[in-house]
Amino acid sequence: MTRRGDALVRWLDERLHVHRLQEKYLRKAFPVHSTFFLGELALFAFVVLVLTGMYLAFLYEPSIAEVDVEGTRLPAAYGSVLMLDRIPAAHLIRQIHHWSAHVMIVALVLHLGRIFFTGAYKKPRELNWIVGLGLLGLTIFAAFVGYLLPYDQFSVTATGIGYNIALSVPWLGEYLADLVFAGKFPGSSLIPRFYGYHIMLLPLLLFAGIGIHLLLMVKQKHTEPPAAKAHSTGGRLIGMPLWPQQAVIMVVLLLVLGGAVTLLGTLFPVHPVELYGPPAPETPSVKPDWYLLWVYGALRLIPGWMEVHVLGATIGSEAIGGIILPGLVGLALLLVPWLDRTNREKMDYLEPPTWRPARLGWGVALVAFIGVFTLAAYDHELGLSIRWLRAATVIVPLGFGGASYYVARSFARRRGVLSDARRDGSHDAVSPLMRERSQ
Amino acid sequence: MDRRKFATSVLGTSIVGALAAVGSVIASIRAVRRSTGEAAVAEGDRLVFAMGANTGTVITRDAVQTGEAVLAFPQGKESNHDNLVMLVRLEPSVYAPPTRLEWTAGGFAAYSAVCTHLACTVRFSGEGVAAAPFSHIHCPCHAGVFDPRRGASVVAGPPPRPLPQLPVRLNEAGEVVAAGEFAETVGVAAA
Repeated sequence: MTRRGDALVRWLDERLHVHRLQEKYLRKAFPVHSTFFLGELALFAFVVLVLTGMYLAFLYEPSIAEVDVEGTRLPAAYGSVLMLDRIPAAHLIRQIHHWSAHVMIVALVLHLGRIFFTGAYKKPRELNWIVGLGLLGLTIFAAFVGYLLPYDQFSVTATGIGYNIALSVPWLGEYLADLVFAGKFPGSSLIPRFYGYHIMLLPLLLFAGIGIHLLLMVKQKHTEPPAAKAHSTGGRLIGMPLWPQQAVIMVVLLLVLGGAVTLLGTLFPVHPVELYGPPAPETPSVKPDWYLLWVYGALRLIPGWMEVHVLGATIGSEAIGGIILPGLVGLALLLVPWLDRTNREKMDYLEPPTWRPARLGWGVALVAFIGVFTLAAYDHELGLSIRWLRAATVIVPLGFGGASYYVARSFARRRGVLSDARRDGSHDAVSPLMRERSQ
Repeated sequence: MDRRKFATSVLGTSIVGALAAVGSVIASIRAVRRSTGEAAVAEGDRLVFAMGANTGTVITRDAVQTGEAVLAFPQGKESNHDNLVMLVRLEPSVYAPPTRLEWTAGGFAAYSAVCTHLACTVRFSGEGVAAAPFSHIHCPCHAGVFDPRRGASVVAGPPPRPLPQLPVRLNEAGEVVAAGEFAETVGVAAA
């Protein structure tokens, strides 16, 4: 560092004791592994979303009052996005915003998968697992809410379906739908309400949640790939220090992400509001974004006669597909740290997916389950019969889950992971890599 | 009461109070409601085209061919989406219960166009599909299928109940007129 830089650091240090920050946080080690950047990617996508979102908020008009746009009466929100799209820079920034949302959710889902399949949710990190799931839920809600804002025919249809799903919640439906959607859909207060969620409430909750997520991560430290155990002395974490090495990687990742979403936004425009047109009485053939396709598929697969009456409430097919099924999946994920009863000691080294055949089997089964429902969203296009798909929701997860379980178990047996664990009487399996090293 | 107990009870009371205050503030935002455009279809309303080039013009007997259907609104009540009607014209002889035959006129039958599953606008198809080898009403959202000849009863898919029927008649000018209100709740019934 230059002498001038030194002087600046000294000046700050005399006033703010920044060297203590350096000792405490800037030396934090980041383990190196090709799957350890997904959370960061989601974080940077969020940064891009906040920056582009602030820009868009300056051009957007949160109202459905009818205004005159080049001789046509249109809702002000729709008209403002139409006008925004005429400005090349604004159009590109809207595309980047939309694409970054997709990237953020992809990164979050992959991050979740990495944490799940390597057992990183185990003690002491159960709390951060729950915070992370909360962040995923908030992000999906923010994406759903943001989808309405252009107020075109597609977005109004999608939000209307959300309203009617909320209406189908047992006992609380009418109250909940009124509260979240500001009265009967689509009322004039709907857009201001959703705008409030999208630009104030949800970003603030996400900021707070991300803060907690990162603080817990710094406090509890990263988990490490098992190979690191062989190199570590005295239980120290091996990895790159935050400053300067990891910071450089982060900047590169941020720039690559920025470049990628710009390229995507330029080459593959999404949500063409002009083409979709303003809200109309007719419902277009619309499918939700990819992360909600499985819920949409479930709504198609669950038959109308599936209806239960409990304590004065009617739990219909729409509540089963739209609320209960996604709710159960969410609940199962929340309980994962307590459902997994293997190795309940404090865990700092990851368990590669094949070490825990049961977890792998359940995880693959869940992915297959969601996959079949996603496929059901395209039953018409793919020519799949509803009856076949209904059977597949049971058979396919069982098949894939069971096969993964048996394959992983035979791998584990062959490499001696399970037998070792049994002989030692310890639940902590030994890394095959370490066995190779010790020979 | 010692100091620790006092402090604890003050803290407890203020937490309960704060939660109650936050709860009632949240509950209050529910009260914002749209007050206009909620008039429901009633006896004597003339039906007008809801879509296309003739939007807003009154539908007459000659405007719809047998085997066709159009989306219609009661005149002057277009802002209430629940008033949207699928006006079907079929051979008068094909209708059978649960269609209320006295609510049809000259082959015209009117059903709510708001799907009972999740309130998307339904469509009419003059051609049959595997699940319904006849002219049918279907929903583009989650593939519900209704039979317009049989009271728009559910033939396939997730909708929990038929599309409510709206009584219609033809007046002296040959215009399609609502002869009453919807018999049942339109759209999604709250749980």
